[in-house]
Amino acid sequence: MDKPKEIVVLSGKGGTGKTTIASSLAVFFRNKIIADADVDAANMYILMNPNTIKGGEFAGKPVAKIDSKSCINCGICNDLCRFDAIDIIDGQHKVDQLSCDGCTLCSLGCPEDAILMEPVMVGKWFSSDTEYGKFVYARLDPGAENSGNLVTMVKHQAKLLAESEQTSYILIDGPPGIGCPVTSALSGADYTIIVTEPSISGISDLKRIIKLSDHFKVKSGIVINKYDVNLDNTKKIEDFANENNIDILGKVPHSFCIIDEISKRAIPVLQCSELKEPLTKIYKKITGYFELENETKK
Amino acid sequence: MKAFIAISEDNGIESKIDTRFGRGNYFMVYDMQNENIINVEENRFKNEGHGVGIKTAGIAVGKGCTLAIGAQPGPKAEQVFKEGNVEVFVITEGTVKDAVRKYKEK
Amino acid sequence: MKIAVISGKGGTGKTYFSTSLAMSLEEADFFDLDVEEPNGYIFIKPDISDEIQYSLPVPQIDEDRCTFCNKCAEACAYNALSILPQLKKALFFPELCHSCGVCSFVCPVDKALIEVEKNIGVIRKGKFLKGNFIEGRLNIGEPSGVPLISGIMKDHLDPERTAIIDAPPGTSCPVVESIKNADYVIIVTEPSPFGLSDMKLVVEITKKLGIKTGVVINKDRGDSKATEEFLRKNEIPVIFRIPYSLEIQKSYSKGIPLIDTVPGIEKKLKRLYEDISNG
Repeated sequence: MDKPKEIVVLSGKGGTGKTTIASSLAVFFRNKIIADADVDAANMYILMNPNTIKGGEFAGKPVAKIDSKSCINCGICNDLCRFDAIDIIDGQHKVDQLSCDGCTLCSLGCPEDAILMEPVMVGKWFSSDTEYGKFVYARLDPGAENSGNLVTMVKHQAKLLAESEQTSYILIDGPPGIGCPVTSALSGADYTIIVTEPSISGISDLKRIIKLSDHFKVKSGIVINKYDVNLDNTKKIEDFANENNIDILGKVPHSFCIIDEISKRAIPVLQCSELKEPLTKIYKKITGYFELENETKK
Repeated sequence: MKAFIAISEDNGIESKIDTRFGRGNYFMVYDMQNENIINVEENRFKNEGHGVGIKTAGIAVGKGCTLAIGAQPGPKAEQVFKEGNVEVFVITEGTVKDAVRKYKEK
Repeated sequence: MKIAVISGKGGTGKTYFSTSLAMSLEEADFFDLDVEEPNGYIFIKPDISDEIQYSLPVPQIDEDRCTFCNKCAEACAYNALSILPQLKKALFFPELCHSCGVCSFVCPVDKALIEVEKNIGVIRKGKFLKGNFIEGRLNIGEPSGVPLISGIMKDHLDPERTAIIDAPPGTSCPVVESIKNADYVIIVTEPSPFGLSDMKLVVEITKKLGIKTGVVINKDRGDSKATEEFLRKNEIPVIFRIPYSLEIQKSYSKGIPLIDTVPGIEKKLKRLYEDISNG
């Protein structure tokens, strides 16, 4: 069996409609595993209505802890720490766990061996069943680091499911931005759908995320959401896409129906007719791309 | 020639190849010429964060392996293999026995 | 006073609101700490006068002095180093490096491992009508904006002046770094279930940090009951409302600030600031 194709939905700018598009595409792709890799702000479960089958806790980088009994308050840890993670509270040196990066330098430098690294649980992952297929998602505890690793965990669980269910696709709702969690989502992907909006911010962020996906050599396609809010900017995006040989997969109009369906916790494409046509096009273009790839290989 | 193989369980030559390179449960070092297992050890790094493939590749080089058999390593692990003059043979299905045979047939 | 503006969910109008808030005041400095996607400049339209490269220390190994003892790679918590003793090679992966200094600390050989500067982003500084504009912009490919955010807060914040801080969206480390020294946090949310879900997460952070918080409900269509109920239970006030408006969206898309789109809103924002600073 061919390795399942990983399609990740990204945006650069947050709030352009990634989850709307990803959840609606989940209705079109028959043979797939769905995953929500936006672990900082996991929202897809709100629309997918999952029944958890299994799950687990996720350990972040171990953080430093000072044993106050052995600590002589010499302050060497504070001098060494580059993350400003050592506080002095009532004369006692203490590690600020939110700021601690887990590098272990304080522990190595402590003359009294008073600092140990302690594992800390920073999130949870879930493997579940939904009306549209198996669904993996995770939640990072607020304020925590390591979202990149949790994204990798979500993808790994999704891949395991894809193998046991013999599915052809893994559809991943990705994180916003261009940082570590995005690179974890991009790495190993076969296609990225970039959802943008026709605003100056949207265009600026689109260019940044395209640079990143090029760096990872992942094929990109663009979806312009709320395209009719600014037709001039939509044209600018289309021109940019043409100049850079990127497909415009589809254009979705501004729609109160989408907002209403989401507030009812329902997947928008089911009820919103203005979504059906563009999404059908997007689905056909992506599956067409993979078919062509397969043909070219043979 | 010593081969470094990432496996999901320790079952001798019937051990299944792990679907992930750096996060396999065990590492096996296999003598390709004499066709016997040199040793198998548990992967104590499988739950680490980013860069676990780098560690794995470093271990393979350190053990004097010139061939790595298993899932596609990430780009950084590949870099380590390249610098370490280790050939990478990508295969994710079957057992050690199958993989060795497929490699010799190619 | 330092006011940080966060959102949890992206796209709720955080930057649109924070820029207009800064532009409504007598005097204020605007900090764009959304270093992965800084967009405040679109609305503030500052005169940029300085571009400062921001760098972090990373290891550089002298393969002639190195004994390939492997202590640095073993000690590195991020797997950024790989030592191949038989081949006398030392490999470094800058994307994984957190500039923590452990490798330099453990290296037993004099001058075998030194720290050199690696550029991770740029700080752009300038002026706008009401004060200073400071923006952090992370290089594409860099894993974390946290050190850049931290650097800006440490080196460029004037404690004597009012600062409006535009934080990154989300709920993790970069947000914490941007707000941890703020006097007040404004959460800009939208009434959707996504907005509410993410707002609950950032409220956990502001509570943990013990910072006074108020909420702006943007894109309000009279459907914010669930949001208001949650806030009431948690004793967090709704301090401002902006109704859902296609006109505002169009204006936003063209880079026209909120204060130039909705008449009278500039006065209201000024009053809001006065209410906040008077406690």
